[in-house]
Amino acid sequence: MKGLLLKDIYMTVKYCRLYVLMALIFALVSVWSDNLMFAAYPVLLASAVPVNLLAYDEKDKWALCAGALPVTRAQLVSVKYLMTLIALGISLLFAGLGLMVNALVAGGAHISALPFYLCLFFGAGLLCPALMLPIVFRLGVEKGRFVYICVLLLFFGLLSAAGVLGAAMGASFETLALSTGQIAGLLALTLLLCAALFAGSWLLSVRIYAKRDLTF
Amino acid sequence: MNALEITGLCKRYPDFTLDNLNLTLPSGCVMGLVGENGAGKSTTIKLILNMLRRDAGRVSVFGMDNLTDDRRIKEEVGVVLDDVGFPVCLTPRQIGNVLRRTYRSWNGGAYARLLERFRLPTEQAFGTFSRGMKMKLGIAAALAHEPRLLLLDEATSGLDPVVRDEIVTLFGEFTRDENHAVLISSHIVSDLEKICDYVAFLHKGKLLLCEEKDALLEKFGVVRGAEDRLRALPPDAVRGVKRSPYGVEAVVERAKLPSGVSAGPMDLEQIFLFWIGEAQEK
Repeated sequence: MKGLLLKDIYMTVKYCRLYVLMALIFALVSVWSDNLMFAAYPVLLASAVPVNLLAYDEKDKWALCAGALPVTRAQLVSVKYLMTLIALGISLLFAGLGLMVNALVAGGAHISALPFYLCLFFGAGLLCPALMLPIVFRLGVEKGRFVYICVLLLFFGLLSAAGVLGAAMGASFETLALSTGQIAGLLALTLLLCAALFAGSWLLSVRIYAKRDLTF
Repeated sequence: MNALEITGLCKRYPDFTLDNLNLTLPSGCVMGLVGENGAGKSTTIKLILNMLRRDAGRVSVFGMDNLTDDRRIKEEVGVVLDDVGFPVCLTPRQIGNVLRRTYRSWNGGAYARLLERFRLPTEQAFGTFSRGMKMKLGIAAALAHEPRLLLLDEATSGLDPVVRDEIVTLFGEFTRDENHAVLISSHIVSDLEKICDYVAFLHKGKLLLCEEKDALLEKFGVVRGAEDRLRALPPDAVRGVKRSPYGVEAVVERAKLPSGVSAGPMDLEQIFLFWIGEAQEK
């Protein structure tokens, strides 16, 4: 598993440099802009990392090499889920820093709303790979990408909702203290649902990949 | 102990079936899987490695079942497929780092020596390598975890004769250890003839024959001449006839020839083509 992870890290460093640069730029822009889109974009990019890695694997016929290694099929699947979490973690760091500086310096969204945004981003970041990966493991990358586009639309829908909610929170910040418990509950529920979906997706992918022939 | 035992192995596709394959490869031996494209050579190797799900049969490697002992088997097996499958952006050094964390018995020194022997750059991306270099790297990686069995699928195809000879020599060195064994598939029969102890002919998913190479070369011969000479041969000695404007060529079983009649030697490729021809006629 360590070897598989190292291989994916090498590939991410090689192929996703531009992603990191873009994430940095968007995080910087989010300092001066109250538009959540800029802060969320690094997360959106990160959620595409595992499928991109699978696309490169498919192109390189990595499955043929991996099939000869002393690793289980479950490990071959799990490493992509692990890479998702790593990429999301890094992107959330960018997003969090951008929003925090925005809150402290530029007077944007209040810092108390930061955990909410980050949880929402994290949930949305998990959603896309959770939906895509089982399909990609079953059908290959091309069909998986189609699903990705559908999820992207859903993501932007969520983002718009978050924008509206954020504006409402900013407008009535003084009253927010009264509903902290509700917000925390909502956050917990969101995270729990996304984590459950992600875990379910992982189990499903493991099951799918265990049954298929490694032909590419 | 047998390095590999395949019993009743079947894999069905809509347009192809690997049908009831039985093979035994003793330790210390090299077996060549010979067959035209689509004969089932790669399917067989992928079934041994569990890359494909079989429909029936059993595969055991050094006495271990390939389904229940998959990881233990793969620690003992070095594999080079037609497509090496390393990520194109990785360098040999990085590939070594990945494999060191994958195989328990990875020997970094042996890997470095093989890279040096093959004159492979350690810091150049795999994707920039020629086919010969890619194959050499695949072989270095396959040998560096000190396997007991090598599975080679078309490992010499598409390579120039110099590189092929270099690689075939290396396989010869590997099999000097009597605990080692090699299963090599190729349609370049001349390469197999150099190193194989056993040959198995596959045709359209069926095993036509599996015999010791030397016994096979000894068993068959070719008689060339005019039609009259052919008619003088005992019919049960003649296994096949090829007529051309220049005369007649008969594939014969030497043991059944009358004394005084000699048959010229046949190489493995000629025998293979003869068997394929017979199978197609049937």
